[in-house]
Amino acid sequence: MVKKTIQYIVFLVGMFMASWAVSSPLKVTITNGNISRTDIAIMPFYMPQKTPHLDKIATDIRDIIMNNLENSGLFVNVDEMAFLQTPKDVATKGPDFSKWMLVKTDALLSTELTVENTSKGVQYKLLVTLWDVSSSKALYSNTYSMSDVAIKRTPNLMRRYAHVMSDDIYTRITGEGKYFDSEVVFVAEDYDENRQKRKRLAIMDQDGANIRYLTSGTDWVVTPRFSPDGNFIAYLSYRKQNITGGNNRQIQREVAGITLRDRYSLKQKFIKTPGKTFYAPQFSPDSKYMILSVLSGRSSDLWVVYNAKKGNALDVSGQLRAKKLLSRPANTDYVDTTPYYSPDGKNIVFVSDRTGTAQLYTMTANGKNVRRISGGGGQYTTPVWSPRGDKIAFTKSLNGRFHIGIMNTDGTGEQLLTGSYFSEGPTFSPNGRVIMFSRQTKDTDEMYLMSVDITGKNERRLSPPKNASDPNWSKLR
Amino acid sequence: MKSKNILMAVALGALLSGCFGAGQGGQSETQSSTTGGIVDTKGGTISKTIENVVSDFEEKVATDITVYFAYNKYILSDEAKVALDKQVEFISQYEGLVVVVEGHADERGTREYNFALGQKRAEAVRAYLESKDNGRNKYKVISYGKERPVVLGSGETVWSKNRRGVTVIQ
Repeated sequence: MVKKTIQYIVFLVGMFMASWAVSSPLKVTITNGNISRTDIAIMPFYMPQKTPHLDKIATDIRDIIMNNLENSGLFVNVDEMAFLQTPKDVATKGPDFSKWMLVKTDALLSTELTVENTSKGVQYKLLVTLWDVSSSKALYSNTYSMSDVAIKRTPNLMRRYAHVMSDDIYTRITGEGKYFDSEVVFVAEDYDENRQKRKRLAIMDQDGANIRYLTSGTDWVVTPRFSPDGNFIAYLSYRKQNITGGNNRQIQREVAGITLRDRYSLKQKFIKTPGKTFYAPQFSPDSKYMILSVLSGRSSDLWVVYNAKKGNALDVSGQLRAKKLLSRPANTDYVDTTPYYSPDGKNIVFVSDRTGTAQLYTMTANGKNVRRISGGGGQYTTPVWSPRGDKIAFTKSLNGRFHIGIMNTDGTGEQLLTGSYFSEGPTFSPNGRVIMFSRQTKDTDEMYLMSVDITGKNERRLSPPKNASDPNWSKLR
Repeated sequence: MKSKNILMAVALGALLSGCFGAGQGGQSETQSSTTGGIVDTKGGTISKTIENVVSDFEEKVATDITVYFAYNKYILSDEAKVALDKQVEFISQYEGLVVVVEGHADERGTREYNFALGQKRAEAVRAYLESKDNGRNKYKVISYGKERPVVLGSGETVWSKNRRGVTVIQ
């Protein structure tokens, strides 16, 4: 995936000083379902001129990197107490590999933070070298340049540097695609001052930090989805509208429909047509279309919505047109819902209970070649297509238990990754390796976010956020 | 139960179907909702305010404003139809009301699928009420999926109370 450059800052990732190891011994291997994890030592930043301000930057960045790597389930951070070299020694004299082999370290990140006064203001230089301990080779060196003006102006920009640095380490050692520099849009659940439950639209970094609320809770929000560029969010919302009721009374009635919201300007458009309810939205990969489910009478059908004038990106100011994707035989009331595009935009996976139980189907994006892909007992819902194009994840309920599972896009190779009282709504990380989903504990009304590796390992709870549901993972930023 | 009221309602029902037949109400002697009238079946404007109608409905129909459904189903049971008949009895005394049917699902399903299920339940109730109401009143439907449980907890006793259709007069 081509990563977008940050608009307001020049991002220097240059200076690859060392040669790449020809065959890295540090590939993560999976044998018999057991992942071998890389033991990595991330040195505290060596700072020739140390100040409390610099120390805070260095500590925060290092913490984020260590958390990212360990949370992926593919790394273990070597305890700092075990380090036999100081940060200064490693940075200035280089690693003494025998000392690192003693404490069973596979990889070592040597780090240095310096300050430079340039014509563009104060720049923080983060110089890192990633070492393979057993072969005594440098895997790469990078200098990341952070502008003081920029990090002061944009809160949490510094976190993005840590995520990018984490991705460089992760991808070099595991061979997997990057995923740390990404966001998740979700529904934040809590109670207002009148102890009424409320659901607000929220965005966070994929590590659960930097949570921002985009709505106040006046409207009830569920099932949000990012547009491919991350600028828009579509979600089902309940909002109160002023309507003339019986006897010409002015009353407030709640209506359900899709809200399309610009996540920066917060401008929004509510999509509702009399007699029809739109829900379960998703954007096509090229942003030309929004596909959604439409309830009309007793049937739920799949429709595509597009911007009539602009033809391209959906925006909140345009006129929207809609057309039904699949024809429906008369007098049927089966449900077609939760459509999701493949990453190349050519196919769609969706749920239909036309055979009596909820099952997964694929079709081409123009609504042809409908094919059932799920088999087995139980009900299959909420399918999502991996960004790698190779897998579909879903929720499966069977015998009173709920599972998050994956299958190949033709339905073969079904694997259940988790099982519990209640889990739902998987979403893939940008590299297709990690799945985030919602879970609810029995006898509580509260949901929270979980993540699990595609092997089914490393199932863990995200905290923060305390209570949340319906996550949707962005692309790599 | 007040048997006198039931007899009254039945008598009024019979009168109504004789006078108005099918189609939209609001012609001839009756006032339509656009000109502000909730009418009773004798064709005059009632002195009741709609707030009174709403509270009367809740009082007289009471627990029968809610009907229940089997797991994953949206078919009306015989019990449900009995409750709905009571609703019809009351509602069909009037004309020009706006009746909202809410459809709900229990928590044992995913969000969007339960949203569709709630809709189908609400539609089943709406279709039944409308078929017996002869176009006197207007009906709206909203699905709340599993977003508005009335009882929290687990187990069939709890879940069965949440799988419901609720009729509200607005």
